[in-house]
Amino acid sequence: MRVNVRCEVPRQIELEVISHRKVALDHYEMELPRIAPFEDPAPGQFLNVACRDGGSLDPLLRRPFSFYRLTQESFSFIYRVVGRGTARLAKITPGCRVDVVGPLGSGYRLDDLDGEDRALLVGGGVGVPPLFHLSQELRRRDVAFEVAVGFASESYAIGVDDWETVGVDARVATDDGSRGYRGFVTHLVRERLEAGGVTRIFACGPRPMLQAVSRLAVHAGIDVQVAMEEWMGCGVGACLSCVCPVKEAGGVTLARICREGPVFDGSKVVWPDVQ
Amino acid sequence: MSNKPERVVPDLSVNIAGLVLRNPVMVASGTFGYGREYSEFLDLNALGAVMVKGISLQPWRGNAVPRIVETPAGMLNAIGLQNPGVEHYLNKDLPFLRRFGTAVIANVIGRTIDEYQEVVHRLDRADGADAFEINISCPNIKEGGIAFGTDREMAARVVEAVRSVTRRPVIPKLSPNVTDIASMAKACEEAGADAVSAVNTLMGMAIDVERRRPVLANVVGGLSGPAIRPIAVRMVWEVYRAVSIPIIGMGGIMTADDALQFALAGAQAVAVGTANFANPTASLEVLAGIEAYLKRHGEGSFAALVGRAHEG
Repeated sequence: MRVNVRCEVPRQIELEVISHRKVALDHYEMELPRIAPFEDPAPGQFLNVACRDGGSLDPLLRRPFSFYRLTQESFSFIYRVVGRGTARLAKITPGCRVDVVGPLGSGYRLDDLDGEDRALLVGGGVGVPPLFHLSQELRRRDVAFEVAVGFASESYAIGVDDWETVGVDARVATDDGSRGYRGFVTHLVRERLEAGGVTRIFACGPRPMLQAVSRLAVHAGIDVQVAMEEWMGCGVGACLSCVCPVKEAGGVTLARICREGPVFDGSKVVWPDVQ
Repeated sequence: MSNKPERVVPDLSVNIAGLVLRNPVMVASGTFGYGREYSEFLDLNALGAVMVKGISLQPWRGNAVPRIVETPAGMLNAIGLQNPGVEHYLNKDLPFLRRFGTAVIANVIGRTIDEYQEVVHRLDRADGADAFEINISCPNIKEGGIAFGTDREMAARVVEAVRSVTRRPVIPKLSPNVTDIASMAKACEEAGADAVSAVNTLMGMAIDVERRRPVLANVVGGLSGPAIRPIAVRMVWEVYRAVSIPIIGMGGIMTADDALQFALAGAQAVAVGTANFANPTASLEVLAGIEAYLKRHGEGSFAALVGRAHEG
Protein backbone atom coordinates (compact mmCIF):
# COMPACT_ATOMS: atom_id res chain seq x y z
CA MET A 1 0.00 0.00 0.00
CA ARG A 2 1.26 3.45 -0.88
CA VAL A 3 1.11 5.91 1.94
CA ASN A 4 0.67 9.63 1.57
CA VAL A 5 3.38 11.87 2.91
CA ARG A 6 3.22 12.95 6.54
CA CYS A 7 5.97 14.96 8.13
CA GLU A 8 6.77 15.86 11.72
CA VAL A 9 4.36 15.29 14.54
CA PRO A 10 2.09 18.35 14.49
CA ARG A 11 2.30 20.94 17.23
CA GLN A 12 0.57 24.07 18.37
CA ILE A 13 2.84 27.10 18.31
CA GLU A 14 2.73 30.90 18.18
CA LEU A 15 4.72 32.33 15.28
CA GLU A 16 5.66 35.93 14.55
CA VAL A 17 4.42 37.22 11.22
CA ILE A 18 7.34 38.13 8.95
CA SER A 19 5.30 39.67 6.16
CA HIS A 20 1.67 39.89 5.15
CA ARG A 21 0.64 41.28 1.79
CA LYS A 22 -2.24 41.44 -0.61
CA VAL A 23 -1.56 39.25 -3.66
CA ALA A 24 -4.86 39.65 -5.53
CA LEU A 25 -8.36 40.94 -4.94
CA ASP A 26 -9.45 39.51 -1.53
CA HIS A 27 -6.33 37.29 -1.38
CA TYR A 28 -3.43 37.63 1.06
CA GLU A 29 -0.11 35.88 1.58
CA MET A 30 1.14 35.54 5.17
CA GLU A 31 4.78 34.63 5.76
CA LEU A 32 5.90 32.87 8.94
CA PRO A 33 9.24 31.56 10.21
CA ARG A 34 10.19 28.09 9.04
CA ILE A 35 10.89 26.63 12.47
CA ALA A 36 9.82 23.38 14.13
CA PRO A 37 7.42 21.81 13.50
CA PHE A 38 7.21 23.62 10.16
CA GLU A 39 10.74 22.91 8.94
CA ASP A 40 9.66 20.62 6.17
CA PRO A 41 5.90 20.44 5.58
CA ALA A 42 4.89 18.13 2.73
CA PRO A 43 3.12 19.62 -0.29
CA GLY A 44 -0.62 19.21 0.25
CA GLN A 45 -0.41 19.33 4.04
CA PHE A 46 -2.00 22.27 5.82
CA LEU A 47 -1.85 24.38 8.93
CA ASN A 48 -4.79 25.35 11.14
CA VAL A 49 -4.77 29.01 12.08
CA ALA A 50 -6.56 30.63 15.02
CA CYS A 51 -8.39 33.73 13.84
CA ARG A 52 -9.60 34.81 17.29
CA ASP A 53 -8.83 38.23 18.67
CA GLY A 54 -6.60 37.76 21.71
CA GLY A 55 -8.65 36.19 24.50
CA SER A 56 -11.84 36.29 22.46
CA LEU A 57 -13.79 33.09 21.87
CA ASP A 58 -15.04 34.18 18.48
CA PRO A 59 -14.62 33.06 15.76
CA LEU A 60 -14.21 29.82 17.68
CA LEU A 61 -12.72 27.42 15.16
CA ARG A 62 -9.38 27.51 13.39
CA ARG A 63 -9.13 27.98 9.63
CA PRO A 64 -7.18 25.44 7.56
CA PHE A 65 -4.80 26.71 4.85
CA SER A 66 -2.38 24.84 2.64
CA PHE A 67 1.26 25.87 2.39
CA TYR A 68 2.27 28.09 -0.52
CA ARG A 69 5.95 28.94 -0.63
CA LEU A 70 9.00 27.71 1.26
CA THR A 71 12.13 29.84 1.48
CA GLN A 72 15.31 29.20 3.46
CA GLU A 73 13.90 30.91 6.55
CA SER A 74 10.17 31.05 6.00
CA PHE A 75 7.00 29.47 4.76
CA SER A 76 3.85 31.19 3.62
CA PHE A 77 0.21 30.49 2.98
CA ILE A 78 -2.35 32.27 0.82
CA TYR A 79 -5.95 32.73 1.87
CA ARG A 80 -9.02 34.39 0.48
CA VAL A 81 -11.17 36.62 2.69
CA VAL A 82 -14.56 34.96 2.69
CA GLY A 83 -15.95 35.38 6.22
CA ARG A 84 -15.40 36.52 9.78
CA GLY A 85 -12.28 34.45 10.42
CA THR A 86 -10.36 35.41 7.31
CA ALA A 87 -11.45 39.06 7.63
CA ARG A 88 -9.94 39.03 11.13
CA LEU A 89 -6.79 37.38 9.85
CA ALA A 90 -6.36 40.03 7.15
CA LYS A 91 -5.94 42.70 9.86
CA ILE A 92 -2.87 41.07 11.41
CA THR A 93 0.30 43.08 10.86
CA PRO A 94 3.94 41.90 10.65
CA GLY A 95 5.46 41.45 14.10
CA CYS A 96 2.20 40.15 15.56
CA ARG A 97 1.99 36.53 16.60
CA VAL A 98 -0.43 33.99 15.21
CA ASP A 99 -1.44 30.74 16.89
CA VAL A 100 -1.08 27.87 14.43
CA VAL A 101 -1.37 24.08 14.57
CA GLY A 102 0.38 21.87 12.07
CA PRO A 103 1.59 20.52 9.80
CA LEU A 104 -1.60 18.49 9.40
CA GLY A 105 -3.03 16.01 6.95
CA SER A 106 -1.41 13.78 4.36
CA GLY A 107 0.18 15.41 1.35
CA TYR A 108 0.70 14.40 -2.26
CA ARG A 109 2.28 10.96 -2.78
CA LEU A 110 5.62 11.47 -4.42
CA ASP A 111 7.42 8.28 -3.44
CA ASP A 112 7.12 6.59 -6.84
CA LEU A 113 7.90 9.59 -9.04
CA ASP A 114 11.07 9.43 -11.12
CA GLY A 115 12.96 11.20 -13.90
CA GLU A 116 10.74 9.63 -16.54
CA ASP A 117 7.63 11.36 -15.20
CA ARG A 118 6.08 14.53 -16.53
CA ALA A 119 3.55 15.99 -14.13
CA LEU A 120 0.71 18.38 -14.88
CA LEU A 121 -0.24 20.61 -11.95
CA VAL A 122 -3.83 21.83 -12.16
CA GLY A 123 -5.10 24.56 -9.85
CA GLY A 124 -8.32 26.48 -9.51
CA GLY A 125 -8.69 29.74 -7.58
CA VAL A 126 -7.53 29.57 -4.00
CA GLY A 127 -6.67 25.91 -4.67
CA VAL A 128 -3.52 26.99 -6.52
CA PRO A 129 -1.20 27.51 -3.49
CA PRO A 130 -0.41 23.87 -2.59
CA LEU A 131 0.60 23.26 -6.19
CA PHE A 132 3.23 25.94 -5.98
CA HIS A 133 4.58 24.27 -2.85
CA LEU A 134 4.51 20.99 -4.78
CA SER A 135 6.36 22.55 -7.72
CA GLN A 136 9.19 23.56 -5.41
CA GLU A 137 9.48 19.95 -4.28
CA LEU A 138 9.26 18.55 -7.84
CA ARG A 139 12.01 20.90 -8.92
CA ARG A 140 14.17 19.73 -6.03
CA ARG A 141 13.59 16.15 -7.15
CA ASP A 142 14.23 16.95 -10.80
CA VAL A 143 10.80 15.86 -11.92
CA ALA A 144 9.52 17.64 -15.04
CA PHE A 145 6.21 19.43 -14.67
CA GLU A 146 3.84 21.84 -16.37
CA VAL A 147 1.17 24.05 -14.87
CA ALA A 148 -2.41 24.99 -15.74
CA VAL A 149 -4.35 27.34 -13.46
CA GLY A 150 -7.82 28.83 -13.63
CA PHE A 151 -9.47 31.83 -11.97
CA ALA A 152 -12.76 33.68 -12.13
CA SER A 153 -10.97 36.71 -13.55
CA GLU A 154 -7.54 38.33 -13.69
CA SER A 155 -8.21 40.31 -10.51
CA TYR A 156 -8.32 37.01 -8.57
CA ALA A 157 -5.31 35.47 -10.33
CA ILE A 158 -2.89 34.54 -7.56
CA GLY A 159 0.75 33.70 -8.07
CA VAL A 160 0.68 33.62 -11.86
CA ASP A 161 4.05 35.34 -12.09
CA ASP A 162 5.61 33.22 -9.32
CA TRP A 163 5.80 30.18 -11.60
CA GLU A 164 8.80 31.72 -13.36
CA THR A 165 10.78 31.18 -10.16
CA VAL A 166 10.33 27.44 -10.55
CA GLY A 167 11.11 27.60 -14.24
CA VAL A 168 7.74 27.15 -15.92
CA ASP A 169 5.20 29.21 -17.84
CA ALA A 170 1.75 28.52 -16.47
CA ARG A 171 -1.17 28.08 -18.81
CA VAL A 172 -3.89 30.39 -17.50
CA ALA A 173 -7.64 30.31 -17.94
CA THR A 174 -10.19 32.80 -16.63
CA ASP A 175 -13.95 32.51 -16.69
CA ASP A 176 -14.30 35.96 -18.25
CA GLY A 177 -11.25 35.84 -20.51
CA SER A 178 -9.56 38.76 -18.74
CA ARG A 179 -6.34 36.72 -18.70
CA GLY A 180 -5.34 33.77 -20.86
CA TYR A 181 -7.86 31.33 -22.22
CA ARG A 182 -11.52 32.28 -21.75
CA GLY A 183 -13.20 29.33 -20.03
CA PHE A 184 -12.42 26.61 -17.53
CA VAL A 185 -8.94 25.31 -16.80
CA THR A 186 -10.27 21.82 -17.52
CA HIS A 187 -10.32 22.76 -21.21
CA LEU A 188 -6.57 23.42 -21.02
CA VAL A 189 -6.10 20.08 -19.28
CA ARG A 190 -7.99 18.23 -21.98
CA GLU A 191 -5.93 19.90 -24.70
CA ARG A 192 -2.69 19.12 -22.94
CA LEU A 193 -3.59 15.47 -22.34
CA GLU A 194 -4.51 15.05 -26.01
CA ALA A 195 -1.03 16.27 -26.96
CA GLY A 196 0.42 13.40 -24.89
CA GLY A 197 3.44 13.00 -22.64
CA VAL A 198 1.83 13.75 -19.28
CA THR A 199 2.20 10.85 -16.83
CA ARG A 200 0.79 12.37 -13.62
CA ILE A 201 -1.78 14.94 -12.60
CA PHE A 202 -1.79 16.80 -9.30
CA ALA A 203 -4.80 19.01 -8.72
CA CYS A 204 -6.38 21.31 -6.14
CA GLY A 205 -9.43 23.50 -6.56
CA PRO A 206 -13.21 23.46 -6.43
CA ARG A 207 -14.90 20.04 -6.30
CA PRO A 208 -16.43 20.24 -9.80
CA MET A 209 -12.97 21.01 -11.21
CA LEU A 210 -11.39 18.11 -9.32
CA GLN A 211 -14.13 15.80 -10.51
CA ALA A 212 -13.70 16.86 -14.15
CA VAL A 213 -9.91 16.59 -13.97
CA SER A 214 -10.15 13.15 -12.37
CA ARG A 215 -12.44 11.97 -15.13
CA LEU A 216 -10.07 13.25 -17.82
CA ALA A 217 -7.13 11.57 -16.11
CA VAL A 218 -8.89 8.24 -15.65
CA HIS A 219 -9.96 8.37 -19.31
CA ALA A 220 -6.33 8.95 -20.31
CA GLY A 221 -5.09 6.25 -17.95
CA ILE A 222 -3.06 8.72 -15.89
CA ASP A 223 -2.52 8.68 -12.11
CA VAL A 224 -4.37 11.65 -10.57
CA GLN A 225 -4.13 13.06 -7.06
CA VAL A 226 -6.54 15.72 -5.84
CA ALA A 227 -6.40 17.89 -2.71
CA MET A 228 -9.87 18.42 -1.24
CA GLU A 229 -11.40 21.08 0.95
CA GLU A 230 -14.26 20.90 3.45
CA TRP A 231 -15.43 22.71 6.57
CA MET A 232 -13.43 21.30 9.45
CA GLY A 233 -13.99 21.23 13.19
CA CYS A 234 -10.77 19.97 14.72
CA GLY A 235 -8.45 19.52 11.72
CA VAL A 236 -6.79 16.51 13.33
CA GLY A 237 -9.25 13.69 12.67
CA ALA A 238 -11.24 13.62 15.89
CA CYS A 239 -14.57 15.24 15.05
CA LEU A 240 -15.47 13.52 11.76
CA SER A 241 -16.89 16.71 10.23
CA CYS A 242 -14.93 16.67 6.97
CA VAL A 243 -15.50 13.19 5.61
CA CYS A 244 -15.46 12.20 1.94
CA PRO A 245 -16.52 8.84 0.45
CA VAL A 246 -13.54 6.98 -1.02
CA LYS A 247 -13.44 3.57 -2.72
CA GLU A 248 -11.22 1.04 -0.99
CA ALA A 249 -10.68 -2.69 -1.32
CA GLY A 250 -13.43 -3.48 1.17
CA GLY A 251 -15.94 -1.01 -0.27
CA VAL A 252 -16.61 2.68 0.19
CA THR A 253 -15.22 4.23 3.36
CA LEU A 254 -15.71 7.71 4.76
CA ALA A 255 -12.19 9.13 4.78
CA ARG A 256 -11.32 12.17 6.84
CA ILE A 257 -10.18 15.01 4.59
CA CYS A 258 -8.08 16.43 7.43
CA ARG A 259 -6.31 13.16 8.21
CA GLU A 260 -6.28 10.55 5.42
CA GLY A 261 -6.54 13.57 3.08
CA PRO A 262 -6.64 16.30 2.02
CA VAL A 263 -4.94 14.52 -0.90
CA PHE A 264 -6.76 11.54 -2.40
CA ASP A 265 -6.44 9.39 -5.49
CA GLY A 266 -8.91 11.14 -7.80
CA SER A 267 -9.93 7.82 -9.33
CA LYS A 268 -10.99 6.52 -5.89
CA VAL A 269 -13.09 9.45 -4.73
CA VAL A 270 -16.83 8.81 -5.03
CA TRP A 271 -17.89 11.93 -6.93
CA PRO A 272 -21.48 13.13 -7.05
CA ASP A 273 -23.50 12.12 -10.10
CA VAL A 274 -23.44 14.80 -12.76
CA GLN A 275 -26.42 15.30 -15.04
CA MET B 1 13.55 29.44 56.69
CA SER B 2 10.30 30.60 55.25
CA ASN B 3 7.71 31.63 57.80
CA LYS B 4 4.91 31.22 55.28
CA PRO B 5 2.39 28.54 56.14
CA GLU B 6 3.26 25.26 54.53
CA ARG B 7 1.66 25.00 51.11
CA VAL B 8 -0.25 21.80 50.70
CA VAL B 9 -0.56 20.39 47.22
CA PRO B 10 -4.31 20.34 46.61
CA ASP B 11 -5.97 16.97 46.20
CA LEU B 12 -7.39 16.87 42.68
CA SER B 13 -8.66 13.30 42.79
CA VAL B 14 -12.33 12.60 42.36
CA ASN B 15 -14.51 9.59 43.04
CA ILE B 16 -17.38 8.99 40.63
CA ALA B 17 -19.40 6.15 42.09
CA GLY B 18 -16.30 4.18 43.01
CA LEU B 19 -14.32 5.12 39.93
CA VAL B 20 -11.35 7.05 41.29
CA LEU B 21 -9.81 9.55 38.87
CA ARG B 22 -6.52 11.35 39.42
CA ASN B 23 -8.12 14.66 38.54
CA PRO B 24 -11.55 16.05 37.59
CA VAL B 25 -10.79 17.06 33.99
CA MET B 26 -12.07 14.77 31.26
CA VAL B 27 -12.45 15.25 27.53
CA ALA B 28 -16.00 15.05 26.23
CA SER B 29 -17.30 12.34 23.94
CA GLY B 30 -17.28 13.15 20.24
CA THR B 31 -14.59 15.80 20.55
CA PHE B 32 -11.60 13.55 21.13
CA GLY B 33 -12.11 10.49 18.92
CA TYR B 34 -10.63 7.47 20.69
CA GLY B 35 -7.66 9.46 21.92
CA ARG B 36 -5.22 8.71 19.14
CA GLU B 37 -5.38 12.01 17.26
CA TYR B 38 -4.88 14.28 20.26
CA SER B 39 -2.18 12.06 21.76
CA GLU B 40 0.13 13.88 19.34
CA PHE B 41 -0.53 17.08 21.28
CA LEU B 42 -0.83 16.01 24.90
CA ASP B 43 -0.04 13.17 27.30
CA LEU B 44 -3.32 11.32 27.81
CA ASN B 45 -2.01 10.26 31.22
CA ALA B 46 -2.52 13.83 32.39
CA LEU B 47 -6.30 13.62 31.92
CA GLY B 48 -8.79 12.48 34.54
CA ALA B 49 -10.58 10.38 31.94
CA VAL B 50 -11.19 10.06 28.23
CA MET B 51 -14.85 9.92 27.22
CA VAL B 52 -14.58 8.21 23.86
CA LYS B 53 -16.63 8.81 20.73
CA GLY B 54 -20.06 7.13 20.81
CA ILE B 55 -20.01 3.37 20.23
CA SER B 56 -22.85 1.42 18.62
CA LEU B 57 -23.43 -2.27 18.09
CA GLN B 58 -22.84 -2.12 14.34
CA PRO B 59 -20.86 0.51 12.40
CA TRP B 60 -22.82 3.70 11.73
CA ARG B 61 -22.10 5.85 8.66
CA GLY B 62 -23.33 9.15 10.06
CA ASN B 63 -24.91 12.02 8.16
CA ALA B 64 -24.12 13.67 4.83
CA VAL B 65 -21.86 16.74 4.71
CA PRO B 66 -21.91 19.59 5.60
CA ARG B 67 -21.83 18.20 9.12
CA ILE B 68 -20.57 21.32 10.83
CA VAL B 69 -21.04 25.07 10.77
CA GLU B 70 -19.54 27.72 12.99
CA THR B 71 -21.91 30.03 14.87
CA PRO B 72 -21.24 32.96 17.21
CA ALA B 73 -18.87 31.67 19.93
CA GLY B 74 -19.88 28.14 19.06
CA MET B 75 -20.60 25.58 16.41
CA LEU B 76 -23.42 23.37 15.21
CA ASN B 77 -22.67 19.75 14.40
CA ALA B 78 -24.66 16.94 12.91
CA ILE B 79 -22.07 14.21 12.55
CA GLY B 80 -24.72 11.54 13.10
CA LEU B 81 -22.60 9.36 15.41
CA GLN B 82 -20.43 7.88 12.68
CA ASN B 83 -18.43 5.13 14.36
CA PRO B 84 -16.93 1.77 13.45
CA GLY B 85 -18.94 -0.28 15.96
CA VAL B 86 -18.17 -2.01 19.24
CA GLU B 87 -16.02 -4.86 17.85
CA HIS B 88 -13.77 -2.44 15.97
CA TYR B 89 -13.49 -0.35 19.13
CA LEU B 90 -12.46 -3.36 21.19
CA ASN B 91 -9.96 -4.63 18.64
CA LYS B 92 -8.45 -1.44 17.25
CA ASP B 93 -9.12 1.53 19.53
CA LEU B 94 -9.13 0.18 23.06
CA PRO B 95 -5.61 -1.33 22.90
CA PHE B 96 -4.23 2.11 22.13
CA LEU B 97 -6.14 3.73 25.00
CA ARG B 98 -5.00 1.03 27.42
CA ARG B 99 -1.38 2.04 26.84
CA PHE B 100 -2.22 4.93 29.13
CA GLY B 101 -3.20 4.83 32.78
CA THR B 102 -6.13 7.13 32.22
CA ALA B 103 -9.68 5.97 32.85
CA VAL B 104 -11.75 5.24 29.77
CA ILE B 105 -15.43 6.12 29.83
CA ALA B 106 -17.25 4.53 26.90
CA ASN B 107 -20.04 6.58 25.37
CA VAL B 108 -22.74 4.14 24.30
CA ILE B 109 -25.37 4.74 21.63
CA GLY B 110 -28.21 2.67 20.27
CA ARG B 111 -31.37 2.72 18.22
CA THR B 112 -33.16 0.43 20.66
CA ILE B 113 -32.89 -0.40 24.34
CA ASP B 114 -31.59 -3.84 23.39
CA GLU B 115 -28.76 -2.25 21.40
CA TYR B 116 -27.68 -0.07 24.32
CA GLN B 117 -27.74 -3.13 26.54
CA GLU B 118 -25.80 -5.31 24.12
CA VAL B 119 -23.06 -2.72 23.60
CA VAL B 120 -22.62 -2.27 27.36
CA HIS B 121 -22.65 -6.03 27.83
CA ARG B 122 -19.92 -6.59 25.23
CA LEU B 123 -17.78 -3.73 26.52
CA ASP B 124 -18.20 -4.83 30.12
CA ARG B 125 -17.29 -8.44 29.37
CA ALA B 126 -14.15 -7.37 27.48
CA ASP B 127 -13.07 -4.81 30.12
CA GLY B 128 -13.56 -2.25 27.35
CA ALA B 129 -14.37 0.64 29.66
CA ASP B 130 -14.09 1.78 33.27
CA ALA B 131 -17.54 3.36 33.16
CA PHE B 132 -20.38 3.82 30.70
CA GLU B 133 -21.75 7.14 29.59
CA ILE B 134 -25.16 6.37 28.14
CA ASN B 135 -25.86 8.76 25.29
CA ILE B 136 -29.59 9.40 25.46
CA SER B 137 -29.22 12.90 24.15
CA CYS B 138 -27.73 13.02 20.65
CA PRO B 139 -29.94 15.34 18.59
CA ASN B 140 -28.61 14.18 15.24
CA ILE B 141 -30.02 10.73 14.64
CA LYS B 142 -33.53 9.79 13.67
CA GLU B 143 -34.01 6.88 16.07
CA GLY B 144 -32.64 6.38 19.53
CA GLY B 145 -30.45 9.09 21.01
CA ILE B 146 -32.50 12.05 22.09
CA ALA B 147 -35.77 10.13 21.83
CA PHE B 148 -34.65 8.36 25.01
CA GLY B 149 -33.36 11.50 26.65
CA THR B 150 -36.44 13.68 26.49
CA ASP B 151 -38.87 11.17 28.00
CA ARG B 152 -38.53 10.22 31.68
CA GLU B 153 -39.98 6.76 31.16
CA MET B 154 -37.73 5.92 28.21
CA ALA B 155 -34.63 7.28 29.93
CA ALA B 156 -35.36 5.14 32.97
CA ARG B 157 -35.83 2.04 30.85
CA VAL B 158 -32.48 2.51 29.10
CA VAL B 159 -30.70 3.05 32.41
CA GLU B 160 -32.35 -0.02 33.98
CA ALA B 161 -31.44 -2.16 30.97
CA VAL B 162 -27.74 -1.28 31.01
CA ARG B 163 -27.66 -1.31 34.81
CA SER B 164 -28.61 -4.98 34.71
CA VAL B 165 -25.55 -5.99 32.66
CA THR B 166 -22.71 -4.15 34.41
CA ARG B 167 -21.41 -3.35 37.85
CA ARG B 168 -19.31 -0.50 36.51
CA PRO B 169 -20.62 3.06 36.84
CA VAL B 170 -23.56 3.90 34.56
CA ILE B 171 -23.67 7.58 33.62
CA PRO B 172 -26.55 8.77 31.43
CA LYS B 173 -25.71 11.89 29.43
CA LEU B 174 -28.58 14.30 29.83
CA SER B 175 -30.11 16.36 27.07
CA PRO B 176 -30.59 20.10 27.61
CA ASN B 177 -33.47 19.98 25.13
CA VAL B 178 -36.04 19.40 27.87
CA THR B 179 -38.28 21.62 29.97
CA ASP B 180 -37.19 20.16 33.29
CA ILE B 181 -33.73 18.60 33.32
CA ALA B 182 -33.88 18.03 37.08
CA SER B 183 -36.76 15.60 36.70
CA MET B 184 -34.88 13.75 33.97
CA ALA B 185 -31.90 13.43 36.29
CA LYS B 186 -34.16 12.24 39.07
CA ALA B 187 -35.67 9.58 36.81
CA CYS B 188 -32.19 8.35 35.91
CA GLU B 189 -31.13 8.26 39.56
CA GLU B 190 -34.20 6.25 40.52
CA ALA B 191 -33.52 3.84 37.66
CA GLY B 192 -30.08 3.05 39.05
CA ALA B 193 -27.73 5.57 37.45
CA ASP B 194 -24.49 6.11 39.39
CA ALA B 195 -23.90 9.62 38.05
CA VAL B 196 -25.06 11.89 35.23
CA SER B 197 -23.30 13.89 32.54
CA ALA B 198 -24.80 17.31 31.98
CA VAL B 199 -25.20 18.53 29.31
CA ASN B 200 -25.15 17.37 25.71
CA THR B 201 -25.58 19.87 22.85
CA LEU B 202 -28.58 22.15 22.36
CA MET B 203 -30.58 21.66 19.20
CA GLY B 204 -30.04 24.49 16.77
CA MET B 205 -30.08 25.47 13.14
CA ALA B 206 -28.43 27.83 10.68
CA ILE B 207 -29.72 28.91 7.28
CA ASP B 208 -27.62 30.00 4.31
CA VAL B 209 -29.42 33.15 3.18
CA GLU B 210 -27.86 33.14 -0.28
CA ARG B 211 -28.93 29.59 -1.04
CA ARG B 212 -32.03 29.95 1.17
CA ARG B 213 -31.47 26.46 2.50
CA PRO B 214 -30.40 25.00 5.87
CA VAL B 215 -26.60 24.92 6.11
CA LEU B 216 -26.36 21.44 7.58
CA ALA B 217 -27.28 18.47 5.42
CA ASN B 218 -29.16 17.15 8.46
CA VAL B 219 -31.04 20.51 8.69
CA VAL B 220 -30.66 20.70 12.49
CA GLY B 221 -27.61 20.10 14.64
CA GLY B 222 -26.25 20.28 18.16
CA LEU B 223 -24.95 23.64 19.38
CA SER B 224 -21.79 23.52 21.47
CA GLY B 225 -19.03 25.85 22.58
CA PRO B 226 -18.92 28.83 24.93
CA ALA B 227 -22.25 30.07 23.54
CA ILE B 228 -24.07 27.40 25.58
CA ARG B 229 -22.07 27.58 28.80
CA PRO B 230 -24.47 29.73 30.87
CA ILE B 231 -27.30 27.35 30.04
CA ALA B 232 -25.20 24.33 30.96
CA VAL B 233 -24.13 25.87 34.28
CA ARG B 234 -27.75 26.63 35.13
CA MET B 235 -28.75 23.05 34.33
CA VAL B 236 -25.97 21.58 36.48
CA TRP B 237 -27.17 23.87 39.27
CA GLU B 238 -30.72 22.51 38.90
CA VAL B 239 -29.63 18.87 38.68
CA TYR B 240 -27.45 19.25 41.79
CA ARG B 241 -30.50 20.35 43.77
CA ALA B 242 -32.54 17.38 42.56
CA VAL B 243 -30.24 14.36 42.89
CA SER B 244 -27.55 13.05 45.21
CA ILE B 245 -25.49 11.17 42.60
CA PRO B 246 -22.38 12.87 41.13
CA ILE B 247 -22.61 15.18 38.13
CA ILE B 248 -20.01 15.44 35.37
CA GLY B 249 -20.42 19.00 34.11
CA MET B 250 -19.87 20.01 30.51
CA GLY B 251 -21.01 22.55 27.97
CA GLY B 252 -18.74 25.24 26.55
CA ILE B 253 -15.85 24.92 28.99
CA MET B 254 -12.90 26.82 27.50
CA THR B 255 -10.97 27.88 30.61
CA ALA B 256 -10.39 26.94 34.24
CA ASP B 257 -12.82 29.67 35.32
CA ASP B 258 -15.52 28.03 33.22
CA ALA B 259 -14.78 24.64 34.77
CA LEU B 260 -14.87 26.13 38.28
CA GLN B 261 -18.33 27.54 37.60
CA PHE B 262 -19.52 24.00 36.91
CA ALA B 263 -17.87 22.69 40.09
CA LEU B 264 -19.38 25.44 42.23
CA ALA B 265 -22.76 24.74 40.65
CA GLY B 266 -22.43 21.10 41.70
CA ALA B 267 -20.26 19.14 39.24
CA GLN B 268 -17.83 16.65 40.79
CA ALA B 269 -15.90 16.50 37.53
CA VAL B 270 -15.90 18.38 34.24
CA ALA B 271 -15.41 17.58 30.58
CA VAL B 272 -13.76 19.80 27.98
CA GLY B 273 -15.32 19.37 24.56
CA THR B 274 -15.46 21.84 21.70
CA ALA B 275 -12.51 23.75 23.21
CA ASN B 276 -10.27 20.86 22.09
CA PHE B 277 -10.94 21.85 18.48
CA ALA B 278 -9.93 25.46 19.08
CA ASN B 279 -7.00 24.56 21.30
CA PRO B 280 -5.71 20.97 21.36
CA THR B 281 -4.29 21.37 24.86
CA ALA B 282 -7.30 23.19 26.33
CA SER B 283 -7.98 20.33 28.78
CA LEU B 284 -4.49 20.59 30.30
CA GLU B 285 -4.77 24.35 30.59
CA VAL B 286 -8.10 23.95 32.38
CA LEU B 287 -6.49 21.47 34.77
CA ALA B 288 -3.50 23.72 35.46
CA GLY B 289 -5.84 26.64 36.08
CA ILE B 290 -7.94 24.64 38.53
CA GLU B 291 -4.84 23.65 40.47
CA ALA B 292 -3.64 27.25 40.58
CA TYR B 293 -7.07 28.39 41.79
CA LEU B 294 -7.08 25.83 44.62
CA LYS B 295 -3.62 26.95 45.73
CA ARG B 296 -4.55 30.60 45.50
CA HIS B 297 -7.57 30.04 47.69
CA GLY B 298 -5.87 27.65 50.08
CA GLU B 299 -8.33 24.88 49.26
CA GLY B 300 -7.16 21.40 50.16
CA SER B 301 -9.13 19.65 47.47
CA PHE B 302 -11.20 20.07 44.34
CA ALA B 303 -13.96 18.03 45.96
CA ALA B 304 -14.37 20.77 48.56
CA LEU B 305 -15.58 23.16 45.85
CA VAL B 306 -18.42 21.00 44.61
CA GLY B 307 -21.76 22.74 44.99
CA ARG B 308 -20.34 25.55 47.10
CA ALA B 309 -22.30 28.22 45.21
CA HIS B 310 -25.45 26.77 46.74
CA GLU B 311 -24.40 27.71 50.29
CA GLY B 312 -25.71 30.69 52.15
